Amino acid sequence: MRILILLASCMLALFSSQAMGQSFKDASEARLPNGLKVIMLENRKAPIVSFQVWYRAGSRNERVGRTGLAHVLEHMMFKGTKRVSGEEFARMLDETGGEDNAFTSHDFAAYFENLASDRIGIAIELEADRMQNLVLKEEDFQTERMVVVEERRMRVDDKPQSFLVEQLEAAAYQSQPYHWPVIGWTGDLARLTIEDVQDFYAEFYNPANAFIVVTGDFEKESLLRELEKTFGKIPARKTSPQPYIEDPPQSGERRIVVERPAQVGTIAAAYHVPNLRDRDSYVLEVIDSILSGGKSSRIYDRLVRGQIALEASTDYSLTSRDPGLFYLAASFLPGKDMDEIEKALYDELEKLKTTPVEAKELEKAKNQLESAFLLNQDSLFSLGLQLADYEIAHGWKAIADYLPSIQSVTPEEIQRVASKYFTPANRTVGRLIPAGPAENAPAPTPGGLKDRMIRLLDKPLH
Amino acid sequence: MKKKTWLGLFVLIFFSILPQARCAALPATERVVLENGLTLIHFRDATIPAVSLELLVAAGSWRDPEKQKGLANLTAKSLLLGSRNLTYDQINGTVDYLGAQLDVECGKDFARLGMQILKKELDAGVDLVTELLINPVFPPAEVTREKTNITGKLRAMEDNPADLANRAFERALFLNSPYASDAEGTEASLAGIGPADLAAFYGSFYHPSNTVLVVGGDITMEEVKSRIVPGFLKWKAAKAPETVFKPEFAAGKTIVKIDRPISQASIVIGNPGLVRADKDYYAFSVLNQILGSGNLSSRLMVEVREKKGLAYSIQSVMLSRKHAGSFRIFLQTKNATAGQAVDLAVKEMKRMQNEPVSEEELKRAKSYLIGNFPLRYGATQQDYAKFLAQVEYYGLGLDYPGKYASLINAVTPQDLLRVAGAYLQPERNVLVVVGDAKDVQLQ
Repeated sequence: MRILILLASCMLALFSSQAMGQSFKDASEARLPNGLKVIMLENRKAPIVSFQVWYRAGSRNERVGRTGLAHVLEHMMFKGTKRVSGEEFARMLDETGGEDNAFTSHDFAAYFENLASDRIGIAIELEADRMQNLVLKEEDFQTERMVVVEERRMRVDDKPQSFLVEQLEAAAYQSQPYHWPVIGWTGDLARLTIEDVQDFYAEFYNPANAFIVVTGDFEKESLLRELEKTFGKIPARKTSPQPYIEDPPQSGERRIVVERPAQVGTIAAAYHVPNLRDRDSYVLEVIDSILSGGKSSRIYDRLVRGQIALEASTDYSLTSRDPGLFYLAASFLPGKDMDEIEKALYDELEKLKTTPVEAKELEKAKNQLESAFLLNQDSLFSLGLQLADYEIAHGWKAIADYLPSIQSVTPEEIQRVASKYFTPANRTVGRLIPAGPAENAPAPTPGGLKDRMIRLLDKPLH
Repeated sequence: MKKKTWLGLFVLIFFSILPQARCAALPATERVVLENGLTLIHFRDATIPAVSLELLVAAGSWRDPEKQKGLANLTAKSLLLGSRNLTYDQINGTVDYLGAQLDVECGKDFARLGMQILKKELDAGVDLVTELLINPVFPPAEVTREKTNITGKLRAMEDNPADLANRAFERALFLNSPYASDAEGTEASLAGIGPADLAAFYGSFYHPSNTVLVVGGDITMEEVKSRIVPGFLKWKAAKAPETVFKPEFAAGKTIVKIDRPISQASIVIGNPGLVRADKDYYAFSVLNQILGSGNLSSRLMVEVREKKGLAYSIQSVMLSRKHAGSFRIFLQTKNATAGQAVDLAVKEMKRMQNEPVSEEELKRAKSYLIGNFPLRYGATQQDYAKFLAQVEYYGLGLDYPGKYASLINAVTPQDLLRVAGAYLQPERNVLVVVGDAKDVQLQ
């Protein structure tokens, strides 16, 4: 159930400068005259590049009654342009041996090609083309909507835990657009029209509302020349405003219940917390690690090792654009006392408030974050992804503050931050209560309580 | 503290380069056999300041005795539960303090133990891994807890529609042969397994000569020899007993229906396939790429998803194990269209058998497979270490990455017709449907 995207890290000062030297320190940016930003990180480990185009156009840019639109458009982006049909698009990339895919979250839709560096021109051509020339046909839309409805069944409707999280977030977020799911409400999907998709494309898919990330084996000057010849030709347009939206403080605990056929029960609690615009976010990263980083962590030890729960963990991502949630969750076999499990989770939060974390435990948490951060830099694709996540949340340069910030977290700060956010009034709690014949019930699936992003294809693992 | 996100999936499979760039992309390897019989493979990749240790032990669940299904898996998992010098808490405290990623898995062919650790903590990591591997003690209380853990996960998996369908397929296809059972065993079979059984299984199969060790990352062969090899040389040589695998397959059409109150049916349709060492493996890889790679251009994707909108996900999978293989198509569609989707899948199997593939489609499939090879297996240090361990286990030879392009390029349209005839069974197959029985209509 643990589903963190562990970007966090900390390390000894001496070591960190060396590690950073290998990666993000060398990143740079440029801007084309039409407003398109390009973030570049050269890395010659292999003759490969990851070419990524990110649009600031996720489900947070949708409106009530039209949810799921950003993701449906992401699917439609593979249906062809005036120049290149959908089939040709797929074939051209197949021939390079390249991989391409796309994914959508609350904050963005992103498209990428990972391919041989001497084929980067193909990715650039195809992406520049579909930024402006997409053909959106009624017939394709009708078929693709069916595909997305199947995707919703797979991801949410037949997965009780995902369904619970959807409900939990709808209760926790009120004015923030994270209130609705990225994949959209079923009724909204049925209501969407091709005109909605066309309007969304026209409003959000333009140079100033996008940015490009390139990592790997390329040469900066020639890349920029290439981008100017392609993306540079797309006329500049005014972008829609992207307000920072924050829910007002909760005025008391909110509770929801989901009753569904399920083999395993789940309790999830979520607290409103800041993102990386606020120093507290780094403290929350450390707290997340103390509570559920590894089998020696507090929540694992108390609930899983203690055999109260099947799985138990916390989850937090500091790179959301608007403020997000800090999650706690535990799943358990029927027959367990749900109040006891819920209390055990809160006890661990209370301890953080009352007792300073000892030096050795704090060091362990920081070691884990450091290691995860470095290990995550092994692939070019994930390097690009990290830069983009920061760019979406607060600007990619913030990634440089990350290590020192984590390193400087103190036991006193942990007490302060825990006391500030982990209050009953700031909490939304959801319970999945197994209902119906247990032997026929669908169950949680490995891989996560909460999918932060959904994508065009779930590819098989060979 | 394994990162379990969709990200892992992307990193594993979404990179690629061109054929001609292949050699440059995959680090060179060196192989030695140590005096205790342990095969050691080394590669250097200093992209990140870390080292991966990957151990593959030929002790998968196919070796489970008839009455002790789940023994191999429980043995592998128990390596992390306690050793002569370390308790469970000490092991996990150390792993977490070092920021190491340590995991054990057991499949039907082999068990694996992997560690990835920052270079600066390497010595402590090697001490830990060798202690766990060489001196396990299978502490009874911890083993009991682990059994409860596995049982809980089995219950959860039993009702995951996709998992359930695939497991039911293997049970139906492999009949009474060793690949039929789930590696985890069953609640009942686990109840009959105790620490003494684990020690006996470990004693039989956990030997240096039955194991491959891959060490890769920011480390030279000299460092491997001075800092890693001595620890593993403490492992005493011994001989593993011969176990005989008797393959057995479902004969004729078999239909398995599993009723669940869900909105979408999970469907598996398939038949016996080829073993990993079969020379037709490469021709069938090309066939599978064309038929159901999972890319938007694959035939199943085009017919079922792009044209009809019946599924989000449809793919064909060849699973070629050491002793027997399988081929399957896996798809998910709403209950009401299950029959229609199955018919389309069967139609595409027949088309592979009856119509030669065009030169253009063949060329594209080859080009993709060859171009995609290096980072399908080498996107990260750990991926490459896992890949090399399997190259050794399946006897492909360390020159395999270099040979791959010519093996694929040699495939002709006639080869595809031949392997389609031999290894696709559109009529006499095993069909598993997990869905809401009142809505599922098979035609």
